[in-house]
Amino acid sequence: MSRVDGLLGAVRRRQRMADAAWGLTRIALPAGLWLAALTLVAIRRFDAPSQLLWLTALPVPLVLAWAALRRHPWRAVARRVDEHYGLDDQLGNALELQARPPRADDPRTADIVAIMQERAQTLAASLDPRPVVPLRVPTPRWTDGLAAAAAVGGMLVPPPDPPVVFADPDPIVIEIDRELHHEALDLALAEPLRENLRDLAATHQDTPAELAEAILDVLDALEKGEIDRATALERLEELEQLLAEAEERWEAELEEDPAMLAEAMRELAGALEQQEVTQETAKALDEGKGEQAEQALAEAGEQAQADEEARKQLDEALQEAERRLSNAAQNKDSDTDEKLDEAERRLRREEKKEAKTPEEQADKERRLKKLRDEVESLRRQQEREQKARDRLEQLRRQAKEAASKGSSPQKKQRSLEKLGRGMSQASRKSRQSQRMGQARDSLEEAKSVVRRAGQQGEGQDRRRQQMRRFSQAAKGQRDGKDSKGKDGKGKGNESTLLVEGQVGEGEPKGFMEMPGEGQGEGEGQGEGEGEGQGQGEGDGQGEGQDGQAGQGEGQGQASQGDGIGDGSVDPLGADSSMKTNMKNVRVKAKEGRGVSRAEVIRDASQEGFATEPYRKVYKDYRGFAQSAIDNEALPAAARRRIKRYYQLIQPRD
Amino acid sequence: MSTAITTAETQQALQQLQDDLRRLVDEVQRVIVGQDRVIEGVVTCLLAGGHGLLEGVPGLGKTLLIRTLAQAVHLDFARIQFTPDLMPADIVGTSVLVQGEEGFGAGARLEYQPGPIFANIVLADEVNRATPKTQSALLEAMAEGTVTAGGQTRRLPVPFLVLATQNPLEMEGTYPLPEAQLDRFLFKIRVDFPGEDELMSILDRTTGNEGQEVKPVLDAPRLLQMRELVRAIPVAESLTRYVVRVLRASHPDDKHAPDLVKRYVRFGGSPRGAQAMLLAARVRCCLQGRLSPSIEDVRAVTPSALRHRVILNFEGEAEGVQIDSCLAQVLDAVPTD
Repeated sequence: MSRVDGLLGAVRRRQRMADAAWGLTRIALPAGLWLAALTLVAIRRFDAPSQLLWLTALPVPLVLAWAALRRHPWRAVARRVDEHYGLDDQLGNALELQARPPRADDPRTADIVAIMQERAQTLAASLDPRPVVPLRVPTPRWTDGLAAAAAVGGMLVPPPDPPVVFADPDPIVIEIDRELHHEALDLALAEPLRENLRDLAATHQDTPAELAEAILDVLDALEKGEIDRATALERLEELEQLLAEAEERWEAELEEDPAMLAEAMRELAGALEQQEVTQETAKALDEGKGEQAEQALAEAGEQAQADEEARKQLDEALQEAERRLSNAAQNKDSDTDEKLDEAERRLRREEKKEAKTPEEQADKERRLKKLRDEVESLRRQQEREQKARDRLEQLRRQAKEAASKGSSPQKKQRSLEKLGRGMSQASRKSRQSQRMGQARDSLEEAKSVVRRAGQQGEGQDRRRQQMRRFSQAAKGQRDGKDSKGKDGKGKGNESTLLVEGQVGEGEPKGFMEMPGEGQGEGEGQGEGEGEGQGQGEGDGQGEGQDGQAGQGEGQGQASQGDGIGDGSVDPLGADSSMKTNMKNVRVKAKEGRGVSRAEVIRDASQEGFATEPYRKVYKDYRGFAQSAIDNEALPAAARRRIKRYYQLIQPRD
Repeated sequence: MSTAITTAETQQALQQLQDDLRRLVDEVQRVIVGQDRVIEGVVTCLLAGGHGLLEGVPGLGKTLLIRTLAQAVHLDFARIQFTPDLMPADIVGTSVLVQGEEGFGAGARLEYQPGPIFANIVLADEVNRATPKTQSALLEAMAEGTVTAGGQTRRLPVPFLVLATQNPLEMEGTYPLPEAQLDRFLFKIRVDFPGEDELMSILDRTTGNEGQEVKPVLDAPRLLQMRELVRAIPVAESLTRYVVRVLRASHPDDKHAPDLVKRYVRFGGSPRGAQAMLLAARVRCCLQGRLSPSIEDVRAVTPSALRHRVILNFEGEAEGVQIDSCLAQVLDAVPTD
């Protein structure tokens, strides 16, 4: 029966291949597509791990394994061949009767079986196994189309909110010609700005960080004299252009209103801060560190599982968070709707106006375009606010589920994880928006600094020359040019100016002619916000022509304590001698309480002193101010001023 | 060597069997137009050694078919027209007083006069018109091949074949055959009305002057040899199992039973039904020129072998359920593997 066995073996192999083809197209393909659709939805909408996508390929090995392991009894295969060729079970019966000979008393039965087997061999040699099992890929059905449509639909599901790192395809590189051929500028007053820029550059790798680094480079180069002021301004203009492009892209990609998210995150941080177990989360959230906040919340959840007290605290914090998030989600303070209505009204009114002349027509079109842009912008803003509300509502639900007493611990844990993730994403988004704003403010401030540095260049030069002169005088050197008193009238003996206690070591080079009584003048310049005042004092020695010692005292108002005064004091020694007379003076301390600067505010004492820690008060006020900055259209200068103010009054440890 | 010779002889015998069967069928078909399935069924009964019940309206050639078959196999043929007043003795025969030399006095004796049942092929025409008492006279003859009359049992001639007919339309004044008697029939063959072409041929053949002469192609000894050879045909175990499954599926409580059977059948086929199926499948494979029956053979003979053995319940009778429909569902429901 070797031929029959060979024929049936070939048919069985083809049957397995046909099974595999059928299974792959009828089962694996639609199942894979459905799985793809489901996993995509799960990943994108329910934060399922992306490894789930491997499930899509799972039907393929399963189907292949099924095709390889499926039983194909010889009898069934033989019956299939018999059916295909219309042999009426001749092959199958011969095979079976050989394997299990029938019990019969008649010897002719065995003879018939032998004849059957002989015929089967002859038949098998002439049969082709291929037509028995045709290998055809099944034609697609409408259900396959449905599965494909589902997979496409799954791909159209919006992806999960990515970490809000604004990707800039082109890194910001500002070429600076660093040849030292310009006069260096003192940008000491720009140090707070630089500090801000360094903070901005250090925390993230995004467009604001790159911008901050570029601005710092420009300021450094300007300070070192590697570029002049005009070039620095030019570079900053380039950076501003890049920032504008980045802001445009950010604006286009922005889905939710960051100001609303930021406000809600502040509220959420305030709610979480009330319980010890969530204070770390609140702190991280307040600082805009979304990932840390998520991590801290997860740790709080673990702590709550282990400790009953922590669980209670967490539940209370989450209930408070839910309440505040609910308020934030229902917040209708935004006047976007009213503005939009107003803009649309104006647009309709403008559209109805008729232009009589071509000039009026052109003017009308210009106004219409402006109004349409405004309406469009407000509509986008309205959509963002709505999406932000949706997001906050989602967070509220998750907070509610996480705090629900009826839920299982596993469900609560999942809700807590989702809350942390959503919180982190919202925080990152709002943080990114703030960073863009910070970059814009810093750039404006840098431009301002550079401009002012240029305006004050003459004063700087003068001051630098004076510093050099003082330095030389302190060393007893002449610079070939006599120094004269301010009034130019002094004709007394040369008197040496000692600067800040430095005692001349050589021959006196600088002289001040003074008419009997010297008069000093202090010079000082203050930069910045007008803060800080100092007093400069200068001592001088002068010698008049009549041999009387000249005396002078000078006082100057100077900022930052760098005032230099000139004038004269009592001569401490012979006028021609470099040796000074030492005079010890004993100062008697005043006994008693002395003068106190403490001032009792009587009203406050009657009302009672503040019991709230300053740190907390400061945080509340700063949050309010930040909210105002984010929400309201303030001029950049005003925003800078507010920020600077809060930087100055921030609590110090 | 001897095995090779035996095999060759067997092969020759098989070939002879198939040739004889073909000639027999051809001879019958010279007279009977169409009705191939009926001819096949009657020949199957002849070869399998079972009796046949032909059901059809009058005038479809049932009697002619049986008569032709008897002539073709060169066997004794008797026809009994069953009527309500037919008595058992009219069938099996009776002992009559025979005059002696002195008339009915001394020397007179009872002499058994065999009835028409003593023939190789008996046509029991309209068998359902006789009373059950008369019908039961057939029972022993069909089951045992013997007749008991006057306290003496007499063997019927071999081969003995009863081919009964009944009219499905005129049921008034009839006595439906009891299940026990129906079970004695190997086949219940339904004779359908001929088609248009067949009717044309019938008219051509029967309305002219020329009659069709039937030539005997077999004789009794040859028929008995053929019966033996048919029973020597091997049957695969899977086919036997399929027969058993089909039979069991005709019962409403079997797992393979289709809904129609579960709902409308009171009792399925008897083991005699399975025997009939297997034997008939063997004959059919010979008729088809094959050496072993196939599932297709079983499927082809199942309606004839089981339709008179399956009993409908009251609901089935009331709904007018066709037993053939139930059997068709059974064949579809039973797996072939």
